[in-house]
Formats: sequence, C-alpha cells, structure tokens
Amino acid sequence: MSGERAIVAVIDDDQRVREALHGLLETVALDVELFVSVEDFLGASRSRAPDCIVLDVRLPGPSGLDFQAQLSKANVHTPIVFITGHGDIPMSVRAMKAGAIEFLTKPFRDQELLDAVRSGIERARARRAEQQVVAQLQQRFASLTTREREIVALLAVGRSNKQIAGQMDISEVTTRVHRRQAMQKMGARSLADLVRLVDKLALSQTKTPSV
Amino acid sequence: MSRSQKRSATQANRSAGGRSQAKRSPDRRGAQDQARGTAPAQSRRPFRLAQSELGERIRAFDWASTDTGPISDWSNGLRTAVTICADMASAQQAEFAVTLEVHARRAAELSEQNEALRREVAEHKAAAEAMQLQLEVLNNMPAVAWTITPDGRCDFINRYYLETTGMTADHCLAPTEQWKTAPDDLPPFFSGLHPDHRERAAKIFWGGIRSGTGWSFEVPFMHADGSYYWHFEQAVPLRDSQGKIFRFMGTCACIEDLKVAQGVVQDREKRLQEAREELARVTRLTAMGQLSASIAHEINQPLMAIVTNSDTCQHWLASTDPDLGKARAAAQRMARDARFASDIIARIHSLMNKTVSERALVDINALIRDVLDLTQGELRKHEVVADVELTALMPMILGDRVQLQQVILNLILNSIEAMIVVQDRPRALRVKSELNGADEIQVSLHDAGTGLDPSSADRIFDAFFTTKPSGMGMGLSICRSIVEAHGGRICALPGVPYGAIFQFSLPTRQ
Repeated sequence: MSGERAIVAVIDDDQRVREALHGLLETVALDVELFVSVEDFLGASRSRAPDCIVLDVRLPGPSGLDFQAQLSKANVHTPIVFITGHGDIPMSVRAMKAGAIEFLTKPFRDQELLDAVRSGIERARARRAEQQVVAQLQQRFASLTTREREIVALLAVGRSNKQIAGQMDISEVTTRVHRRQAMQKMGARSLADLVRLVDKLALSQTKTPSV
Repeated sequence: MSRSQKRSATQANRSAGGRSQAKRSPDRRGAQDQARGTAPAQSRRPFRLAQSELGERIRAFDWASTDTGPISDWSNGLRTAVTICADMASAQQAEFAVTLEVHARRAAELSEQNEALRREVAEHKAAAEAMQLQLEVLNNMPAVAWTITPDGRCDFINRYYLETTGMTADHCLAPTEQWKTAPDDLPPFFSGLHPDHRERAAKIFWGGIRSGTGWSFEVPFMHADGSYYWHFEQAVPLRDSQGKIFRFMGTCACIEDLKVAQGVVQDREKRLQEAREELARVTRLTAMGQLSASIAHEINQPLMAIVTNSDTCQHWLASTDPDLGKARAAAQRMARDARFASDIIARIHSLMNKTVSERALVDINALIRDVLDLTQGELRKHEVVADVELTALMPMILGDRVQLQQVILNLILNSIEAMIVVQDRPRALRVKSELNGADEIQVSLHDAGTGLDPSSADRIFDAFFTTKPSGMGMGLSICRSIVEAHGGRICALPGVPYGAIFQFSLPTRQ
C-alpha cells in the first residue's frame, strides 16, 4: 500500500463487536472509524471517504443490505465486507451480486476479515486511480472544440478521414488538421489509443462517479 | 342430706321418745335401750317397732298394778282396793291417754317419714333408671366418650370405644402405677394411637391436664381392623362447686372422611398449582423458542468479539515488537465479553428451568433491563426501537423474579407482534416504570401497533383468547395470573395517537 493509511469504516450496532474489530484492524495499521448505524455513518463529517466498509447485515434502522443498495443507487462503490451473526445463502447471494467483497459469518477467522478488507482497499484504490484517469480524460475532452469533438466521435466509430470530410462538408486537409489537434489534446498516440480513450469516456458518461 | 344420714336422724328421734316414757318404769329402760342397741339392723320398719314398744309398756303397767302390796281388811280393803283401783284406773287412764296421744303423734310422724322414704325410694329408682339410661346412651352413642381423673387415669370409657378399637375395659382403665413410668406416658386407652403422633399427642394431653384447660388434637388411631383412621379428640374439665377439677370428660370422633376430603381438596389444589406453574413454564419455553434465533444472535455477538479479540491479542504478542498494552486491552475485552455471554446464558437458563415460585426482593428496573437485553435481537429483527424511561430509585418489590420477567417478556413480544404490520410510522415501544402513589409501582408498555379491538378489549386477558393465527391465548392470561398473585393489577388501554398500552402495577414491600 502506498501513500496515506487506508480508512476502514466499521458499522455494527454491537459495541463489543465494534471494539473487537477496531482492535483487529489496528494490528494491520489501518485507520478505523466506528459507527453504530447507517444513519450514524451518513451523518459523520469526513475529509476523506473510507476505502472499505465492514458492514453488519442486521442493523437498527436500514439493514446492511439496504444500505448497500442505497449506495449503489447513489453510484457510490466503496467496497463492502459483510459480517453477520446468522447469514443465510439468499442473503449472501444478494450481497455478493450487488458487489460485496466478502460475506463473513461470525465468528470468522481474523485472516478472513483482514484479507477481505485488504482486497476491498485495493479495489477502492484501483477504482480511484481509474477515476483519476477518467477525470483527466474528461478534462482533456472538454478542451476540444466542437469541430474536434465531432471528428473524434466519428473516428471512434471507425470512419476514415475522407468519410469524415465528406460527412462534415470540409476538406480532407482540414479534417486531418483537426484530427491531429484533437489527438494531441487527448494525449492519444495512435488512432487505436484514441478509440480506447473515447470508449472509456463514453462508459464513464453513463454513470457519474461521486466518491 | 344423704339417705343414711336421714336414717340415723329418724332413729335418734325415736330413741328420744322412748326415753321419756321409760321414766315410769326405770328398770326396764336399760333393757329396752339395750334391745334397740343390739338390733338396729332390724329396726328398719319404724311403725312395727312402735307397736312392740307399746306392748312392752302395757306389760310394765300390769306389773306396777300388782305391785301394790297385801290387803288385810277386806271391806276396808275393798274400798281401799277400789280406791286404789279407781285411782289406779284414773291414773292408768290418764297415763294411757297421754301414752295414746304420744303414740298417735308418733304414728303420724312415722307415717310422714314413711311417705318421705317411699318418695325417696321412688326418686332413687327414677334416678337409677335415668342413670342407667345415661350409661346406655354413653355406651352406645356412635362416638367415643370417657372420663379421666385429674391425675390422668381413665376411669370410664364407653362401649363404642372398646368395640371400635377392640380394646378391653381392663386395659383402658388400668391403674396409674401399671402404665406410668415417665411423666409424659400416655394412659393405656391411647395405645391405638399412631406411633408417629404419640409424642405430639402426649405433649398436648399432659399439657391440657396440667393446665386444667382440657385439650384437643387430631390423630390417626388404630381400629379393631388394624387400620389407622383420623380422629378428633377433645376434652373439657369437670369442676365441683368449689371449682376444683374432679374429672376431665371427652369425646373422640372419627374424622377420616373429612380428612380424606380435605386431602383430596388439598391434593387437587396442589395439582392445580403445579399445572399452573407447568403451563407458565411451557409458555415461557414457547416465548423463549420464539426468541431462540435472536438469543442465538445475542450470544454469538460476544463470542465473535471474543474470537476476534483473541486473534488481536495473539497478533500483538507475536509481533516482532510486541505491543503489550494493546494485547492486554484485547485480553480484557475478551474477559468482559465472555462474562456478558455467560450472563445471557444464565438468564435464559433461569427462565427455562425454573418451576417453583420463590419470593425475593426485586428491583423492577433491573428486571426490565434484563428482559430488554434478552429481547434486543428480537426488537432489532423487527426494527422496533425501544424507548426506555425508568424512574430512578424505585422501591423494591417482593416477588418472583422469573415470573415477573415472564410478564415483561410476554408484553414485549406482544408489542413487537402488534407492530410487525406497521409500515407507515416508526415501530416504537416505550417502556416506562414509575411510582404510583406511595405504595405501588407501575410498569407500562406503549407500542405503536395496530391497537386494541374494542370488542375484545375486555377478553384479552382470558385464557385461550387470541387474535393471532398461531397464538395459544395463554400469554396475557399468564401475565394476569402472575400479576394478581403478586397482589397487583394489569390492564390494557388504547394508546394515543395509536397503538396499545399494557400497564401493570405491583404493591411495594410494606
């Protein structure tokens, strides 16, 4: 792990369990935040989002599974490790389908939880890196002129310079100039590279990352 | 005056009369007196004795008339004799008249006495007959009767007793020296008394004799058939005109049927009580069964914490740079959580196994918290938020901890069930304890459930009354019987703005 310490949020209404998890997560040099309920978690002021949430399935107020769905709807993809006193299969299937890192039944072995948390943190890191790339791309894309954007869009769907010039009713030379300009702004080294970047952008456009 | 005393007085009168007449023939007096003295036994008939006395006196007179001496001059002598005779005759007449009068008076007296004696005899006869009747009654009445002397010896026992016990009169009436070797030995007519009850009976018996108050006790006594039957024995002192006790008289009646009936009733009550307790236990188990999943969760939580803390502790100890402070903290958490888990188990154990009612001082607030701990999982499962408002420093109550826990448990489970269908408002359960006046505490549970159906509100505490598809209808009925057994009351009220309030009050310890 590089840079600042990862933050793990523990949401469990049992004080004993919270304290035990706190102790355990501390042993692997993680910053731990403890919450009694989902409301408690949402109400907390924070400078940085947690990298992983350790979430009890059964909670007062909205349950852990409800919270997972709520986050997903809000396009928040913080990795979740579920812990439960008496998990059943439908419950765990639902959680895993919705993207949970792990579904652990209490009492679990310490390593199981630590591994799950670690993989959650890694996933969060990767996602964050990805988001940085996308944000950069968006920034670059935003710097394109209207004409450049149109040309990039047509390139991405496989049109040749000639076809684009015809379609946009401009000369092929002008098309080539705009294309070079756009590729430079986007940081694409080749046409294939540009297409990949545009795909990534298009994908990210469907969801707005907020974390 | 007794009969014999009367008799001797009559005799004395008679002797006095005889003496006054004998003055005229003093020589005979001694003989007469002597004759009477030697034969008092034959003088039972006073009238006949008077006749013979009279005859004796006439003979004495004849003797006196011939004792006047010789007559020499015939005419003179005759005259003299006539004179003498006349004198004698008049003297004789006079004396005879006196005698006759005395005898007539005497005869009248004697006749009167005779009449009195006859009446006396008749009275005696009637008395004897009455006594015989009484004796017959005493002997044959269908109950035991006896008399006991102030020193504890039986001197009369009726035939009924002898027949029912198969004892003999000789045995029962044996003189004291034959049976009494210690101060508290019972007289032989008690020999059929059940050995297990002898000591107690002897204490009461001699206590009643010595204090002079009499006694009563219930004992099993052996009948002639060799079986023991319960008897009620009772004795009262008999006092003479000076107030001195001269006997104790008593009876003894067989109360076996009564005892059997009592036993049957007691036995039935005991079985009813047992059945009630068993029913309470079963419903407790049912409630616990309902809770089992959440209780398992409740126990699993601290177990999970213990395991995790143990891992943490080991990690810090195994580290190249061991953090003993953190290892110790983890170990302390382990101990704390283990105690918590074992407390839960102990609480469940007492709720599951307890059957016999025990009264002790109970802190109602602690009791409410205990039950809330047990139902925490269930509340959470149904998303019920408990709002607990316990008045501090509540007086202790005298009660059965487990039974009272059961009341609160039943009411909480009821409230949860009433709120399951509620979707449009928070599922809140307000549990409150408060003082109600100086000598009553009150616990109320206000739920946000569907409320009470007014048409059945007055029946909800009845046994087997239920509005739930799977309910037995025992929960609230048991709550009521427990609360009432503690001298309290329970009721259900409509909640404002919704839900129901179940409220019970218990008297504080006086």
